[in-house]
Amino acid sequence: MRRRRKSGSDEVELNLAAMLDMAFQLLTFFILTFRPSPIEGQIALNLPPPIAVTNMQQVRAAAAGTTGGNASVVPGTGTLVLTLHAKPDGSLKDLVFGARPLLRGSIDKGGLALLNTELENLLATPAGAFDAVQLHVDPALDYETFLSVMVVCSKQKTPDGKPLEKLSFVELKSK
Amino acid sequence: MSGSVSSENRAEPNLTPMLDMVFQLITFFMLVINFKSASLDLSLKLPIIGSAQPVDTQGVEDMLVLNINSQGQLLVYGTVTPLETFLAREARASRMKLPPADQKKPDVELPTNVIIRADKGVSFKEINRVFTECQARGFRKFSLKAFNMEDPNA
Repeated sequence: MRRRRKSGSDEVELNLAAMLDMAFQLLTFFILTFRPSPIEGQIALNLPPPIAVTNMQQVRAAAAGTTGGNASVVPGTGTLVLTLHAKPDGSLKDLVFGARPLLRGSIDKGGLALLNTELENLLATPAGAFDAVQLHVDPALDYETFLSVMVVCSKQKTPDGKPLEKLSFVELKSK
Repeated sequence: MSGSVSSENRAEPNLTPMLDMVFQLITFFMLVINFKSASLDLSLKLPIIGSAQPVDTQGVEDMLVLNINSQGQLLVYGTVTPLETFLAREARASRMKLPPADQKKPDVELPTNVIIRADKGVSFKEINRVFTECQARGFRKFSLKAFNMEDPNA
């Protein structure tokens, strides 16, 4: 097949200036509207409808540390209750672990680490009396504090190494 | 001062490389533009939780984003919207995605992941109201959004 040879005099020169103008306008638009959104993480929860708290007597006794070696405690059948009270400004006033006050004042990394250790000791032991955690939360508590405690609880594992699934929360009645 | 340029001496810069570069930049910006962010209210100050996991849909592709401001109001594209009405409408739409046999069951779990983007200052009372309303309409899977670190844009 014979190719047609281009002669220099017939060469068509496109005017690129108009296209460049348009391209710069598009570029300006994209630069001005570009706003990189911050990286967001998430805490996944599966929340079935609320269920009744079990074995409250046992819960209070075990959390207060008075059940040591009590043979009547049936492992894995209790609900550990954490109560969070708030100051009027929404920050944490205190955190009650079962019946025992654990933290006072605003919650920080040290407080969360302490809570984590206490929960691990209680939940992950083979003879543990608890298979569920329920948070009783002051309605005035701010969301960030509540979420911090929820994250610590959701990281807990049961004695068989499975993640703690029975995690719930209820609102305390306003004073 | 004479400014005339004879046609023989006219300098014509080669615009092709510049055009190539500009098109490459446009392509970059078009690829990174995130239309999803339109449904996210970036004015909210999310809580800062160091251990927040990267976004994982957990096999549930259908998502419902709820932006809750510090007063506990639902914001839809920046407008305060009644929570109950909005959730009722979304629950109806989500129910339609279930198999026909399950659509009429009252306690069926809806196949939608509710993503809650709430301001860190909102009270538990308000956030609990959101959870309760969602649960009452059959939503079971929740994702609570948080920053891993301080927002650099804040």
